[in-house]
Amino acid sequence: MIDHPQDLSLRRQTTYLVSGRLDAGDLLSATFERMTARDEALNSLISTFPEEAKGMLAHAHRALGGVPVVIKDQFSLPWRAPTNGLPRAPARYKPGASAVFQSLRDGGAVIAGVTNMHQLGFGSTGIISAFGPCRNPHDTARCAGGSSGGSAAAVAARLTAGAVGTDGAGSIRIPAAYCGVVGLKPTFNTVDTHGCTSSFSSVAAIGPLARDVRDCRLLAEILLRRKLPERRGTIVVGVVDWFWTDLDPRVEDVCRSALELADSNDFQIAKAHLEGAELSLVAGIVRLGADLLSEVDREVLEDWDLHPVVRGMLMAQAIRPASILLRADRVRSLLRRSVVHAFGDCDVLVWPTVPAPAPPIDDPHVDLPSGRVHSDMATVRQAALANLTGVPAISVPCGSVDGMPVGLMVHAPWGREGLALEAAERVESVVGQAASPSFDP
Amino acid sequence: MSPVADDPQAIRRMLSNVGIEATDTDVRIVIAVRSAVAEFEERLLALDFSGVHPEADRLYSEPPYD
Repeated sequence: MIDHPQDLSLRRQTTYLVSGRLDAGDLLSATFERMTARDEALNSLISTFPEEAKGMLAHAHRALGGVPVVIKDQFSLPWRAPTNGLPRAPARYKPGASAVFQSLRDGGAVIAGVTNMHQLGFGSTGIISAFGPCRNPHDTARCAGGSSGGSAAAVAARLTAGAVGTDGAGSIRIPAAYCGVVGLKPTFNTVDTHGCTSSFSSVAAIGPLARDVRDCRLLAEILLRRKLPERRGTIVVGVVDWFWTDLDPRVEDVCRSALELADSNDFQIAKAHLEGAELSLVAGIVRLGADLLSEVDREVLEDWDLHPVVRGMLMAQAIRPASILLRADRVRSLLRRSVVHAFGDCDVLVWPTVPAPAPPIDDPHVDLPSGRVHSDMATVRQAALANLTGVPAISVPCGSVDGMPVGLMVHAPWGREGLALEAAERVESVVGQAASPSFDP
Repeated sequence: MSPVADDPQAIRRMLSNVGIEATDTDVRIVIAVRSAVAEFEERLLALDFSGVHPEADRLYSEPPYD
């Protein structure tokens, strides 16, 4: 007996909608009621669209049958310009039919709201936003992650069964791991970036978040506008030592246990080597910073009420010597070659998505064997390689530490999202989904 | 800190040179940000990229193995 339709998976909602067992209008009403009941404690949503969403129900006869989803505050909608975590939309962000809007509409999804995000996407905690910090549904004193923190928190809290985010240095995968949901960064440039605030980025990709891997696959196919092939047989999993070091020992235990369990599920574990892996953090920081600065208008930097930390980070980027950017891009090339060589010996590369569980909102640092560091540095260290090389990567929940979820990250070769999803599903099948956060009735 | 000194006046001048008028708070945060990544940037600057690679470098969106 299901008490609320948002406790159903996305694919089950779709099946019920298409068969007539569930009415799309009733589902939408129940969704907004749940948003009202649950989101005050989370701040995962910055805007909801009861009227516009009803309008989108005209397309509900298509594949998804009228399933409500939420999207990050980076996409133009016909009725709204994105704000990108800023207090208001800069002049060059216009209302319009972004490619994500069109794909969701054409796929039969209904956009019910826009989610909170780390300002300009420049952080992995989700704390800095013109709309206030986004809170983790598993512990509202802890951050939801970022920059797509609102999307992950909304899915974890079962406000909707699916969401869309963007990922320039782990911004889908990190909040997915912190909130106990599945998040996929597809191959670079395979989801159309038209109407997205980061459309010029050389590292960012648009992707889905959902409560389980099969829902993530379903939403990915809508965004990618193609079927993703399933993989049979043994998957050779490459383990790169560098990304299994400097972890909270409890996270390492959970992730290693999950991998060992999955080893019995047609996985074959092998050592893998990635030359330059230890440089992916700095190359990622430098390249992402340059990309973000290129997207910020001078008027926004100088005259707007930017958060002081974001403003300072952009200014630091503005005076970073070009020699450093050029060297970061040489490292990026090295990493691309390394990844190609690694995938010659294995099918996927796997390591922990985050080195520690979600940190407290009022002190976003993590304690690692190397010492106490800001969580941004620790998470980007794990995440940046997929952005620098463009390959698909997915975070799947693999257990918890003190009640807070952690995730395992699976990388696949360029264009092989289906393989990444298959490997993630095998992990999920042995460890199960993350426990649902508890809410007062 | 490399390559420029960790000096508020120098930071302010560098920002001014790129057309940004910075407040004291801005300068403090810029210095903190630079400090946080200085060690990593120095590692980048110490790298030697000389030599010949058997494959062409590709910096942007093309997969290097398609």
